[in-house]
Amino acid sequence: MTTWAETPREDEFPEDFLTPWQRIGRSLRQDRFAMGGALVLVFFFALAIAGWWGTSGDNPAFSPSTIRLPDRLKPPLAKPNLDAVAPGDLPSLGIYLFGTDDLGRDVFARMLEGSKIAMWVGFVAVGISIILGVFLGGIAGFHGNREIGPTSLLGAVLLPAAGGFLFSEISWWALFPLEGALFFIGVILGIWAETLPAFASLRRHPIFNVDSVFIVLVDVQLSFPTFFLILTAIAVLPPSILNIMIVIGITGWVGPARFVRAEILSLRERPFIEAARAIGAGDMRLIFLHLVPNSLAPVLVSATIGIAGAILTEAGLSFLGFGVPPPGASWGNILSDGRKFLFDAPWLMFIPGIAILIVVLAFNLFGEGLREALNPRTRPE
Amino acid sequence: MAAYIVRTAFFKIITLVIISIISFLIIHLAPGQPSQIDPLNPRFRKEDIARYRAAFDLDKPLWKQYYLFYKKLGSGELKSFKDNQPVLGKIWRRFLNSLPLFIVGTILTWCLAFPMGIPAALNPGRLYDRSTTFLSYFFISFPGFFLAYLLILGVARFLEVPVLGMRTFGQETAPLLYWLNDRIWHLVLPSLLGAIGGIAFLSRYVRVQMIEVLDSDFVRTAHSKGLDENTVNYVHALRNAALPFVTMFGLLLPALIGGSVIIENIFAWPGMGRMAFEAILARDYPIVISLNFFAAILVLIGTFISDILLVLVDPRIRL
Repeated sequence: MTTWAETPREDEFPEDFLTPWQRIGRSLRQDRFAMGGALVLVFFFALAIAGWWGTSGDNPAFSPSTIRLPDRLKPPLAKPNLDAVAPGDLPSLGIYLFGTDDLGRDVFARMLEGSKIAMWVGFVAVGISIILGVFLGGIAGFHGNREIGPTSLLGAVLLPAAGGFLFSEISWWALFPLEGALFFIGVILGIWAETLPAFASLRRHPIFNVDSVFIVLVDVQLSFPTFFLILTAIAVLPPSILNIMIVIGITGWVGPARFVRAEILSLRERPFIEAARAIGAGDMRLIFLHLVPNSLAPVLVSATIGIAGAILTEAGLSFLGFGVPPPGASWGNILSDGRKFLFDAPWLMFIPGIAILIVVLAFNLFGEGLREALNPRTRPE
Repeated sequence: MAAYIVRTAFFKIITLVIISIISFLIIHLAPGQPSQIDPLNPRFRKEDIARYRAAFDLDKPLWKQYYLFYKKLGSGELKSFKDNQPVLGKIWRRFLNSLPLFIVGTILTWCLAFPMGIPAALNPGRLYDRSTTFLSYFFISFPGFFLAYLLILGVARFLEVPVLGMRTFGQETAPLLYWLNDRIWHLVLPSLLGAIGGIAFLSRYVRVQMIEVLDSDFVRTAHSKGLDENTVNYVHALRNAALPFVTMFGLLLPALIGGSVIIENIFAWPGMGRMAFEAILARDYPIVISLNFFAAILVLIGTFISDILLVLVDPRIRL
């Protein structure tokens, strides 16, 4: 008979008794780098939310855009010049914790606003990449073997081309969704046409399959030097933080898409899919309700590392002058503005530089820990 | 073998066509017309804009613009908006300037990543492995431009060598040895910075690949027939672990070329990346489109070479 005293604690369970998530949690807890990263991330999120609350609104607690000309380029921890600065403009902490920049703006308040922006950019950009990646990877993984016949290919090319001829005068913004819709209609018309008895002979001449379309798309995306492409798109689009997030997000779909596709390839032959099909589940239901949720674990890894990449890319864009439009503050912005005062006010470069380094490093280390925890081969015994 | 190469080339050509379309269309993301480069300039009258639109085919429908653009680019007639110089010649000169950066960066990446990753894989979990893992992530996470400024500060202050630009002015007539020395000092920092992300990334990949191979049966067999450590590790295991790296050659190129935008700007290096930035600032669309297109072609050539190399080293793919 087992008594409570003899029941092993959760930590002592052998691996086989644990659910996958418990196993991942245990593996993560043993990884000191990943735990350190997670700790930093919790702190970063708290800071970003505090920054959101503290720097927005009409009368923010920490005003990132108050200009105090008497207090220009004050070093960190300096006291404000009480005689020259208006009482309403004094920093809320009583001192300039991180100093001030060349316009006398409080760097601490700007860093807080920047942490909010960094979190936004990371999450929205990666959210977009994951939605795109899961959609493309899900279809490629499930329908990879489906052959594309001549009629659906013709439909996919002819309809958008015809649309381009007819409506070439209208603006790009209207043309783009139109072409997308025409493309889908073309494909579906083509698939329908192949089922007609009149075109029966065409069915025997498949040209290539869905998977090769996916591979060409991945090739196209990987062939562009991404930073070039992002910079070009950002430069021609109207300056706004939302555009930056969207462009970074759209160019980052390859990682999640490949992970989802690889997972689905191995999952789609499992009995639970067969069972779901047997009770009459449709293809879309199978892909997005059964397969995709089961293949999300590796996507989590690529999301974590993707956020790190998005923050770095935004910083790089800000450095070249295409980042968050002024007076908004992002870490890259503060760093880029600070390089003119490298010798007079080194804190203007070091504080945001080190903040970016720490947060990106934390995301990367946590992502790597997650990858190790998910990969049964590299898991420590 | 021949069939494989033809098939790969066919897919590369399809990729190239899609790339040409995307490079061309990306400019049209901008609201308004490409001819409205400088709408506030009072000297830019209506008839000027019309003349301008006709000169650069901007008055034709989109599909015809696309066709004419690449036709002119191919025949070398395409002119820059800014100074009316042929685009091909301008890009070629800048490309030659960037080439040493790309070549030295690639050599550095491949020569440093393997010695860094292999010892880590031989003793996984030990101090060396953990410290190189941390260092790799440290450098992947370091904002490149911040690191560049720190390095410039350090090198300029302690080593007292010239770092900015491609060469020191007035050194053209210096003896060959001095000239070479000067060029090399200018080259070191930017190419190292360009390579640093690649080194960190590749050394992690070497480690993972090597650990996986060291775990396999044939390595155990090699050990059990009494071969010494080095033969097993470097002849048997490494050669098998190195196979996937052939494809990495093509995959590391985009980061190198894309990263050159920031690095060439900081180091005042007159290469492709700096040209892209200048062209974007000046809204010089022919240059911007062609640069995106050529950069993608460079990568395509890189991946094509690595695809062919992969068949040469891995006969299984030929089947």
